[in-house]
Amino acid sequence: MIPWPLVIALVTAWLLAIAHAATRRRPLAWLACGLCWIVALAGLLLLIARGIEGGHWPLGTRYEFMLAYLLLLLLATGLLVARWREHRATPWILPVALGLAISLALAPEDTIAVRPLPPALRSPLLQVHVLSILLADTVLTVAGGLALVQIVRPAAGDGCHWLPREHEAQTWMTRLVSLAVPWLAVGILLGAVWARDAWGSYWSWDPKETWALITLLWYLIPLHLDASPGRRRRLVPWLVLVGMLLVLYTLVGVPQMASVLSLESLHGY
Amino acid sequence: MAPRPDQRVSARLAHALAHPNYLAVSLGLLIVILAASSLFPQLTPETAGDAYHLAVWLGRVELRYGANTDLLADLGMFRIGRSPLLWAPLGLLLIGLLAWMLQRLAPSWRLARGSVRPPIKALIRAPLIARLGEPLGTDALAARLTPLLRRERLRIAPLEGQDGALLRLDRHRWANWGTILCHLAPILLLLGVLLTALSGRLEPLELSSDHLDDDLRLVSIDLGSSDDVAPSALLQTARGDILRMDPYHPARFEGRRLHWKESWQVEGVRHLALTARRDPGWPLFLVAAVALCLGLLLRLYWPPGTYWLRVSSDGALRLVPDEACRQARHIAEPKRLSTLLRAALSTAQGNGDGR
Repeated sequence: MIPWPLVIALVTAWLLAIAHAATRRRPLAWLACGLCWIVALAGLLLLIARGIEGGHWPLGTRYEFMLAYLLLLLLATGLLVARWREHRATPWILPVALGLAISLALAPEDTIAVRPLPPALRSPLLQVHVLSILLADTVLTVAGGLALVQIVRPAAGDGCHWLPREHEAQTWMTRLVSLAVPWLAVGILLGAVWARDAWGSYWSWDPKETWALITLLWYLIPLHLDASPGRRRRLVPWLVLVGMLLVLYTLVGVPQMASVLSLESLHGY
Repeated sequence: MAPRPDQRVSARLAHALAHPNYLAVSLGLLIVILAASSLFPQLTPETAGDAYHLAVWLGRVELRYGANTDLLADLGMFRIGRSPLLWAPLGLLLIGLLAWMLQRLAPSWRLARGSVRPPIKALIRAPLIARLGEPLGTDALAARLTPLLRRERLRIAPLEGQDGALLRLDRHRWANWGTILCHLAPILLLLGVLLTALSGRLEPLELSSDHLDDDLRLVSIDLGSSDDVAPSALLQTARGDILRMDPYHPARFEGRRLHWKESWQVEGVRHLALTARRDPGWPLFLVAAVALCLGLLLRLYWPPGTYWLRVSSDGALRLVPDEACRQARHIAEPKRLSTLLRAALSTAQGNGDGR
């Protein structure tokens, strides 16, 4: 279970980031950033400890995947802020990390236990598949936060000082989507190659597979619209935001949906 | 580019099919149908091929959906891979992609090879960046700008036979192949899936330790001791080759893949049930997967872009970016490059007159 002090640290980081956006005081931003790095480091240590305890790579269960997702999300936010030199983006990205941390802190005991890795999951191909999807999902979540910035910006007016500049947010969002989509495709295709050996079929219309495909197809729309001139490009932030919701639904919502509708799913997470 | 009124009907139809609106509608339909299908249990070929499991599956489905079962089955909601509801938007998308490929293949090819004609009209109309004190020849202009453009990672191609000096500046020109690959890959992928659906096979196969005169013989089988230790088996072919397999590592035999289904023991005799698959579309699927990943990486990680730089006989310097350079990630670049070029040429000429 993720310790509650880490969740409190993340809430504090979020509040400090909001305070920085409102007041533009640099120390608040550095404090928020520092707290995020501390939580990320703690998440990394937790993952390493689970790996050592289980004797296998620590991405074998849903809990571990979500922990790695939280860790990478904080890491990606930190790297983006460092590269962009724009701390006002942080409050728009952190809520997802906060939601993840709370769900991990509230996770039932039986989902947290370190289990031996089933033989089917001991394939290097599967590890690359999971890592690719993890990387893509993380970057697309950050892009979703920047999409939200662009959606809010026109309503906030030109004189608004608590939001990053729209043009820069748009450039970074496009870069992040362009970075993530190839990894999403690589992840899905590697999963298919692995599933052919492990499950006998490369595509079995499992709800998780279907929603991963839907997410990939969805992101093709903003990628194409972004290259087109005119009014259509204004839709891109909305599409990227919906894309982020699709990513979260595929991760969190689809297992719930499968459970509610009693659908069989071969995917553990 | 909009179709001209004097164009043939086929050309206008091809233009309509390759239009982004048409492609967006087919993609949207596909997404909606995929999302709807995820709400229903899917009948796998393995279940369909096994009478007992099929009966259990049908019983569950009828219990859950009652009177609507037949309607849902007719719509193909339980076997979405074979449903006309899926193949209709997929077919529409495929036609759109083919039309796009036919329409854009030649321009994309020319872009990738770097044999694009300069946009003369756009170069005449483009805003003036600077007026040079004396007109420059193509070679002189290229020589002066080479250090600056190398720093900007732009390649210079001097163009002959123009009035004044004309340069093509480009980066990652070969990444234009990525666009072609990205759009070719889904077509190949679907062809692979179709090929498997039309000529692929799935047969059950049962071996036992007391049955010795088959093409394939069960030599030994370990039924596995716990969840942590997987079962495994050794098979021998009629030619004497030994095949090793377990539930996660299928064996290959006479062009088929043998997948572990289940294993059991009755009165000291061990049995192994396998599924033999013939999957002729798999090589095409793999080629398409590699093409898609390569295309996406090329197109999105090394975005191509081309600029046209012209100094006319009266010393007017003009820069025209192509469509790719005007996209989001290059949006600030044409302006910045204009400033750099103006500064470089003004300094070189020592007149510093700017505009």
